[in-house]
Amino acid sequence: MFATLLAVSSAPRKLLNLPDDILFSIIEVSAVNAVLELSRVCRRLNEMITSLLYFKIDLVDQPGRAVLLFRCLIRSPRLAKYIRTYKCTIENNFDSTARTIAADTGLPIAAMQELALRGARNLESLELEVGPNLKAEDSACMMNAFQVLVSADRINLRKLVLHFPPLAPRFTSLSSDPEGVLDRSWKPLLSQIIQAQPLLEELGILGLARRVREDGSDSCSARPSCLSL
Amino acid sequence: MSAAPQVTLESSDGEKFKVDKEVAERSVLIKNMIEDVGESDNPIPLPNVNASVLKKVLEYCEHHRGDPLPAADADPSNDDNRKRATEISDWDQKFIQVDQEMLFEIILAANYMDIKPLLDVGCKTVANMIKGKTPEEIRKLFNIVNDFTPEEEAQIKKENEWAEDR
Repeated sequence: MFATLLAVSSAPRKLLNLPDDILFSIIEVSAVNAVLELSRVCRRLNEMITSLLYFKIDLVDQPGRAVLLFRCLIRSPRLAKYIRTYKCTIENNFDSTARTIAADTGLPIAAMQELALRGARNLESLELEVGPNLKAEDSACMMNAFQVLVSADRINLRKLVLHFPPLAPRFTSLSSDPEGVLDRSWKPLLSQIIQAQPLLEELGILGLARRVREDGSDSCSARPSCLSL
Repeated sequence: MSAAPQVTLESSDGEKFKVDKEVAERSVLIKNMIEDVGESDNPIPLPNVNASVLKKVLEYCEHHRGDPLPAADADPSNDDNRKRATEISDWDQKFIQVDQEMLFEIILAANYMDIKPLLDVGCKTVANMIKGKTPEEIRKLFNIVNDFTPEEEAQIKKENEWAEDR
């Protein structure tokens, strides 16, 4: 009466014989440092852990760690392909650490960010926040980073919107610094993103499009709270 | 007072276990099978679970028979209590003190029979075994061959630096 559901397997059980979803569950409940040690055990575990580790990057308000990540991605660009969701704060208020680290690559912070994201071909959600102490020369690099991503179609907005509609507004979420120093320089960039992604308007998300095109004021930052679907 | 309804489960090696329906239904697989087919005197076959493993699984289900069932639509990735938490109750710890072969068999059976709390206990137990060990110690523990070159291993160590908990 009851159907046989799966074939019987009599193979001896070892950790690496467990199916991927179970190994993922083990990794999920493990402490971060234990996971990192596990990633050095063998190629299969390394591949699984790397795909999990980079799948969702959230380094908001962690500028020191962000710079370490940039350095890692610049040295090992293959890792960027795993990134699907990326949130980061870029700023320069940590001179003692970050400038030293940045000196390794000879690049300012935002240029490192730009380079780090170049290989992020599977990026689906991007949220970059500019910290209050980002320097003027860095803002230009940040703009370049967006231009690279948008022009190379690395941000697949159509895919994102079709599969994850609630995330769409966060896609172009750019927060300018509280003092408004960078607003003016962000404005053409936002226009460019909107031009490159007309789907935003088709979906009626933007608000943002209208503000940037019609509003002559400097307040062109787009935050999720003002872009609800 | 009438006796609790019972069902019969049959392991892959043909052994039959008569248990309270309430206990068997800790397994979502069995619960769904009973719902789909209706109550029957026929044994429910579990072709992926042998008798010694099924006995252990049923011991777990019996002990936890009164526990609230996890929500069917719960998204494990959003469960903060589950993530990065390797605490296991005293009873569960004693229950899962088995050799590695049996541990993995229990994990696979819990996965197949869809008993999420038992699967969690198994995964947390493996996570606890890994905790605090070097890659070499982990290899030794689980009999895993190192297929990295020393250069690759050093590179991965470097790549991981940004994510380390300091």
